[in-house]
Amino acid sequence: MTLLVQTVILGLLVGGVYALMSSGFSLVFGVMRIINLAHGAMIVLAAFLSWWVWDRTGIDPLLVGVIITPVMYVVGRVLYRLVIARVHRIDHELAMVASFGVAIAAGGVMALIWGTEVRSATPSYFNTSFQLGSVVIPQAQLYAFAGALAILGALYGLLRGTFLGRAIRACSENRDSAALVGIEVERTMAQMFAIGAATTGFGGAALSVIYQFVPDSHYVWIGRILCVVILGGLGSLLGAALGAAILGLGEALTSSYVDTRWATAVPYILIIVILLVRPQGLLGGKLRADGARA
Amino acid sequence: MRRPVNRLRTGSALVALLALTTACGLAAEKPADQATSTEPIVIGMSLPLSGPVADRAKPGMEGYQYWVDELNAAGGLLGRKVELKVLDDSFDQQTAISDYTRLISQDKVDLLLGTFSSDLNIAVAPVAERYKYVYVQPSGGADEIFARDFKYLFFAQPATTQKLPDRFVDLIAGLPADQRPKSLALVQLDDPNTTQAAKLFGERLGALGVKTVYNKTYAPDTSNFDTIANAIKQAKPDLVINGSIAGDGISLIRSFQKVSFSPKQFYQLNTPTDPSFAKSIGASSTEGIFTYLAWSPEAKYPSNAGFVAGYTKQFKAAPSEDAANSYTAGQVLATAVKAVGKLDQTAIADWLHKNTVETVVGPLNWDATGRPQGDMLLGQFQNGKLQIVSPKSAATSADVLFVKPGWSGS
Amino acid sequence: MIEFENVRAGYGGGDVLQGVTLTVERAAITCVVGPNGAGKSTLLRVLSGLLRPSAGTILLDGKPVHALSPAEVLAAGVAQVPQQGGLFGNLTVRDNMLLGGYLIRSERGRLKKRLDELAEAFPVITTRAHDKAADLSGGQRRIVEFARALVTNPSVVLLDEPTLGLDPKTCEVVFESTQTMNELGVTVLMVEQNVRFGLKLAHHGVVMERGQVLFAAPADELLARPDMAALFFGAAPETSHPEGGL
Repeated sequence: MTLLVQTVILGLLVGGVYALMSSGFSLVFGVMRIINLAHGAMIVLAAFLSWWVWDRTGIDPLLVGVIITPVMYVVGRVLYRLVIARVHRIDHELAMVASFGVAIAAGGVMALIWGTEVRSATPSYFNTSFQLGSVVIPQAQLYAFAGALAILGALYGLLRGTFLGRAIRACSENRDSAALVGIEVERTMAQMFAIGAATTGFGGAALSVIYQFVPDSHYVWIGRILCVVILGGLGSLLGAALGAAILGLGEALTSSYVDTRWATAVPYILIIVILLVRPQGLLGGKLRADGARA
Repeated sequence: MRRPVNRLRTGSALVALLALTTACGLAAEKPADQATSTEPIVIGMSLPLSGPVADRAKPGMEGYQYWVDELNAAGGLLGRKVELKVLDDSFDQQTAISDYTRLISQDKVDLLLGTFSSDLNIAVAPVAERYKYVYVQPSGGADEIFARDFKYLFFAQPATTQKLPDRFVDLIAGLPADQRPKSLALVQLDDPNTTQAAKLFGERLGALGVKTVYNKTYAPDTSNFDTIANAIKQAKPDLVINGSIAGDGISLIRSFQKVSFSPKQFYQLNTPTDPSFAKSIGASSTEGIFTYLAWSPEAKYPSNAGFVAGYTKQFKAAPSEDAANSYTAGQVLATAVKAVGKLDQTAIADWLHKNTVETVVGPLNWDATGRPQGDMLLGQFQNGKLQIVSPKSAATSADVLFVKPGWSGS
Repeated sequence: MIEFENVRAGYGGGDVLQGVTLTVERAAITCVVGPNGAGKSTLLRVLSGLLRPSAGTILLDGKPVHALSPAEVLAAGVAQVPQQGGLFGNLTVRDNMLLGGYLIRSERGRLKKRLDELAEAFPVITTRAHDKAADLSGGQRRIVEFARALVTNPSVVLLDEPTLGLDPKTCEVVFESTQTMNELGVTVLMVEQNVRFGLKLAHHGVVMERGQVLFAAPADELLARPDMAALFFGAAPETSHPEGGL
């Protein structure tokens, strides 16, 4: 019984990490219909920055993650302006391809700056756990989980309760009507993209503490993120949370009860299953021609 | 009246062309052993420099680098400088195969040296064999590699995986029955070397009364070991043997720490011999961990002291097992080429089958299919340092810790 | 008032507006009618800033507005209720109303006061405040659209086919609401497929065809002209709303 409880807890905690990574990506797609394949590279960049600052100064990497959130916001703004916006005007799908190009280039640049050795940040809590009866809760994962809740909550609050959030949702439905109420559509889109990028600050910091990483790790992570959002429904924040939980639990349960070798195949199996059974994802509405929901 | 003039012109053009072709042909026919000493000997290799085992490929590459630098400083091979032509296969079998094929058939390198890990070597060895190139490799010990009757394949460590468990099993066998570990967990990466070792450990320890309570293989791209660590913890084994290759071993130990599980005895393949091991998990956490080694820096073999000193001077850090294995492969190849006197692959292979080569891991000789006839060493971390505890003739420490202390803070 | 001077505009395949010259009187209701493809909606788009004219000018009380962005046009006092409404279906009625005041969102007090005023005039804003706009009936949606357009107190409101898809009873509501708006001093420029409805409501009528103004006259004059009957009442394609009952 302990094995099951512990496995479920570990699975949910990992799910929290996945939700953290995927929230920004899901939002950008839901609102702007842009599949930003550079999202994984931004997470790895944030991971490198968090690890690097921690390595040099000893400042807690998760704290660094919070501090570099505005940095990643700026990175997002720049990326949108220089690449995405230009390409998106010409061809929607091309934006996805362009973002993948950016990801590959970013991987190369990171390798040049920091080398290809395996890195990971090891603050005091990186390998310790809280004890709850016979069950352990790894500390770093718990902090990441808390961060995920905070970020998802903040994004939700932003979209529902602020003018920016309403403007973003309006733009995603109908750009012309949004313009007619005085919303500057291009600027709002840029802000949305940058907010999605900003979430990678803490996400990358969590990655640096919980996992080992190299510049090329972004391939693995964009794969997991895609699984989470396809599973949960592209464009739904709640869907991303749900998809992340399912993926985390799926991997943990498969590892403990089926076969450890199959655990890494779980994301791909889930993608295939959901596309066959319910292609819009668990919480994805029927995709409307004029927009999406968040 | 034009034709005769044209014929003359065409004729002289043809003669000139013929002469030119002959001259080129003559120039190209120079036999290999009479090549000018200004042309370097090119040795080709494809290594997993990027990808999941990049952190271990680096010292391995440095071992090759040091070997070739030392060789060239002493005059090179057969009076010629030696150059390494290195490709990166990112730990992918298909890439490694096509890399070596290209090096042989397109780039026409003079010699080959082997890549790292059983997983890659098992794929590349047939390529070298098909083209009849001597293939000395430093790092693929799985028996499968040597089961195909290859004449050009040679392993540059003292023994293959078949003999890997010997010393540790003997150690356990030497204990009275009631002091032996009662239960065993086997957890290994999906690789021919580690899965074979796991199988052998399970069988041979089982014969000594050690029951296997957990046995799982994980994919090379596994990044989160918490669930695995937890499952092992629930199985309550006395002894855990982890067939790791590189960073996966570190991740598993960290996950053990996270789920608060410390086995009474812990044996880990490969990972502990990396120089950054103590730093990665904390020096005090290494206490009592067993591993096997092909090479020890203190071993008294003739070329060893020079290798350790020279390598340390060049790289500002002591050599690791991986570096030593690469250096050994270089030694084997160079010795054979010098003895034969020419770049004749078949002659080199024959010579290696008939002779013994003195290396930093001791004297090496091989059976007909490339298996070395020596034995591995058993090592254990004591007080932050990796000591040799078996065999007695090479031991650097007379003590053996039979109970591993718990993990301490990092 | 609004002055169009030789305006040409199109969507890339050639100009839809082929030189429109027109004056829209202040504080009156002007209705533009004409067959499909005449350029009626394009006329509104060019004024509201969604489309830039390739030639010509548009002046609002003497100030050029043809080169302004939609936000700038709105700030100048021109609000548009686009065809099919432009309500954001996935957002609540309250959110839609708030967005109507996007330009004055930083003036919290003023915005709240305005919304309260409009809620009094159009009660549906309060009763269905937290429902998704897409869940409202066609008539209720149209009312919310009108109300939303009025949040910033515009001097001009553009209506693009306000009766499209509505039943006769709801058309009455539209009729009254438009009159109420106008009584408050708002200049209304509307485009209508339902010619009788449009000309009955409006003070002035404009007939467009093939991107140009054919003629402009007081609305009841146009209604009474026999050639209008021939031009539109018979020739116009079947629309989804009946002509009677007004």
